[in-house]
Amino acid sequence: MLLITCPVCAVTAEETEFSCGGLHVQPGETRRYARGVVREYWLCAAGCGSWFGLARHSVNQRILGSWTMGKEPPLFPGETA
Amino acid sequence: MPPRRPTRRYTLTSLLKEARRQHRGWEPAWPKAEPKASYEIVIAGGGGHGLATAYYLAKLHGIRNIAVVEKGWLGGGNAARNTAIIRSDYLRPESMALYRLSHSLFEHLSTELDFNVMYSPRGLVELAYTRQHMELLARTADANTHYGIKSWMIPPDEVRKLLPLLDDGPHKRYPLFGALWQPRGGIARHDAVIWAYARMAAQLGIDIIENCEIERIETIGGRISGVRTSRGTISAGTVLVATAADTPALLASLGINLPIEPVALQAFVSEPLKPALDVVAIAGEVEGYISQSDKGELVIGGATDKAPGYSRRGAFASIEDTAASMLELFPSLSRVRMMRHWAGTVDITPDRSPIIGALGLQGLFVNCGWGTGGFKAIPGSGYGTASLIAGGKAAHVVAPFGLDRFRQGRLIDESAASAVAH
Ligand SMILES: Cc1cc2nc3c(=O)[nH]c(=O)nc-3n(C[C@H](O)[C@H](O)[C@H](O)COP(=O)(O)OP(=O)(O)OC[C@H]3O[C@@H](n4cnc5c(N)ncnc54)[C@H](O)[C@@H]3O)c2cc1C
Ligand SMILES: [Zn+2]
Repeated sequence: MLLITCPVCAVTAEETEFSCGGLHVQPGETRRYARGVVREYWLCAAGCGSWFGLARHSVNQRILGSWTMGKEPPLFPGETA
Repeated sequence: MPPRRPTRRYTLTSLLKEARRQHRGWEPAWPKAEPKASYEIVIAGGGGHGLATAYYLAKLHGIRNIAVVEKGWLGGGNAARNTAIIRSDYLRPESMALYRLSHSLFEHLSTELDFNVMYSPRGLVELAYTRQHMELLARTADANTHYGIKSWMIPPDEVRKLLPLLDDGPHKRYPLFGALWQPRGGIARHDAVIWAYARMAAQLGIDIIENCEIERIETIGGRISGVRTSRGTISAGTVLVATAADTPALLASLGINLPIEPVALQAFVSEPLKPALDVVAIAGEVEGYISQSDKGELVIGGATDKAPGYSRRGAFASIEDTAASMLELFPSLSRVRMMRHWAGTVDITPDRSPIIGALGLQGLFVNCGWGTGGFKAIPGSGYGTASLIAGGKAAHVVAPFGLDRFRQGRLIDESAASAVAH
């Protein structure tokens, strides 16, 4: 179970209150899930209804951080570009 | 008294012979092979599809200089994590041909492989609680009839006879409309299928190398030259990649991009009960399915987790949803204790059909993308993939499943058939 914090309305809740919108990709880019840190779009579905960015580890499920759209943080430890 | 010649075949006489010498003479089911410097074919991944392809290559095409290279232990992937449901009531002609072949091979698999795979064609019902679902299942039944697969629609009365445990009646918010019935659908023992293929492949001279991870596929001048593994380099002119959700990572370095998403799918097993359920029951609307094993345990599955990833821990939300589905169908199970639970990382494609075929580079083949329903396909897929690699006549069974279908927009959409994971 992922415990996610929405960076827009600051609510912290279980993943069932959110909706995963898939990998963060730039236009024209093809990217696939890999073992390691992944960046995704998530929707604060049961909350404020905003889309935001989230980084988590695809194997051990650790969440590294979330951010409002356009405010991309630099690479997290263990993350490859 | 050390036995002179180890016993190899599993027969009544060999059992009696071994009983007389305290079972000390059995040959190991497959020897632990060390990697050699080169092979004709290297198969990456010792799951069902890799092992079955190896077996049919040796058995039907006489190619025995093959290594199956597995990073962990045989069956450590999804091959022995599934709920073992076998059926062929798919919707598209391409799928029906493949799954029908596979289903028919299951009928004689124990004899073919000299190993009891406990194939049990006990019958399978897919319940419908909405008109839309009835229409979809009726369409499937018609398609199946057209293509010679035995499945048909049955009314609620017949469903109640098959499933006396099912809670149904006027008090339910959603009444039962009917069901799709496949009388030869059923289950088999998944470990046995893996062990049986491995054992027979090894007896035909194939090396089965466990605890050996393939790190990279090597090429020279646009053709495959071998693989680099955690135990050294192995050269081979042909490589089949059958590593399920790890396939995209292995092929990415060759510039091949596979549309595969990894996601956890969970299964649950209860304490053993007296026989209460003698068919497999699937309910698409509540995303749950159930069967009773020969030991009496209820084997239960549901939908995949919501967020993709390689974690095999499994999300709580899916556990709760699956339990709720089962109680909606069978409230009498509310006091049954669940004993075991696990997850596997399934490899989902956009159209829920597998990716099988050559990949452009000479000598490179792939068999992956089975998602939530590839156990039932192991014999047929192995048969077809072996033929594809060896240039045989059965290649047409797997030919439609090439990667190029995504570029051509020629999808083999089975998302309806696999809406519930099995
Ligand atoms: C909970 C659950 C329930 C299911 N229920 C059903 C069902 O009822 N009916 C059905 O038909 N299907 C079912 N399935 C799906 C089915 O299990 C899979 O589709 C099928 O087993 C896939 O087989 P495979 O050989 O492609 O993959 P796997 O069995 O996963 O084999 C791939 C192998 O490759 C190995 N590998 C990975 N990377 C490397 C590497 N770099 N080097 C070497 N080896 C590597 C892995 O260790 C693994 O052993 C279920 C799956 C799950 C998880
Ligand atoms: Zn919010």
